[in-house]
Amino acid sequence: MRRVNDVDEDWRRKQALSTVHRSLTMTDAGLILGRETILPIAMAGAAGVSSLSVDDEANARAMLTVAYERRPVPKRTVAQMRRAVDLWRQGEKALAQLHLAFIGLPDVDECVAYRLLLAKKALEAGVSPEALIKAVGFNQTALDFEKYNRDQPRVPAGQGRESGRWTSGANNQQTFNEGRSGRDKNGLIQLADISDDLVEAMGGAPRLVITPKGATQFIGPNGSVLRFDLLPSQYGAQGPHINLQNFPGAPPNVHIKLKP
Amino acid sequence: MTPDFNLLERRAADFFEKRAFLQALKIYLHMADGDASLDAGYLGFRIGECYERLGDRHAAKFWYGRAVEENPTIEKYASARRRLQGVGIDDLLR
Repeated sequence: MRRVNDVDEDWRRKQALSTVHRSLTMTDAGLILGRETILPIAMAGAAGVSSLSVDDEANARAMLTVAYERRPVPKRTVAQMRRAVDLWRQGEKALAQLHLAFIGLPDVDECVAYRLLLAKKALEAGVSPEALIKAVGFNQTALDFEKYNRDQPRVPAGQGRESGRWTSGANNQQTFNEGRSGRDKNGLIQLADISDDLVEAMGGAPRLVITPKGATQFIGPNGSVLRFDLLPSQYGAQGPHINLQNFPGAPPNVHIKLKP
Repeated sequence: MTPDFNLLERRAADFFEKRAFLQALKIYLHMADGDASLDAGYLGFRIGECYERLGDRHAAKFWYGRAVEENPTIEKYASARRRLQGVGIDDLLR
């Protein structure tokens, strides 16, 4: 009971002090969603080897699953978040935001933010991510944690404390850069790869520039522009849309319409 | 019915390419109607280009200026506005 009261108190304090981060927000403290809830996404370790443990990944996926009350988010989503965090820590802040923009999580409202905080508190209190997932009605096996998958790569010997830890890949940088747009074996669009292709099409890492009317805009070194016109002050009769401007080989101004 | 802006854009670009600047201008103005942001300045720039090709440098300067207002970091808009910096109305006031 006392723990529940602590959670409520923490929630009320956060309500008073902060606004809801409706989408993933990168800060120097970490990747934030909801009311100042930091997701457990670690940055890459030495020699480009991911230090993201299976536990971190499972915790992040469990938190998001509980928060959104939907099927467990795919592992790829967490990999995209980790990539964004790595880029942020390397000083590639616009590139990091670009990766976040393409993750595609639904907007967070007060309820989602509260569930996210609850999930984090439960994990901190020692509840396993599997139990958490089960508690909201999903089968543990749906998570496919691969905790005991002997084929999953480990950090090789000679990497200090990281040696022998499970990793999600021997070299994430290489994995992401080698990917290209398209569909995976399950027919799902590979958004992380699309974002890398976008960077290539934009002539390198873009700058993040917010327009005077508040639209999020990425400007590539080659003058191409990727912009999200989502608020009524940012669009007219065409409704909310994504803009692709001055991309090589494309019409000068392409709109991707969104449902209002 | 919501207009297909990609289609409008292609038609306007075709007209512009064929030097039919007035027709292109009509389409860009139609697209801009009701969009206070001018598609983050893009339409302001295109309208300015049409006016400039039609010989109305004063109108072009105004629309380039609107493009810069809506998106100051796009160098293409800023340089177009700077290029017409000297266009004024002094000759009308003598």
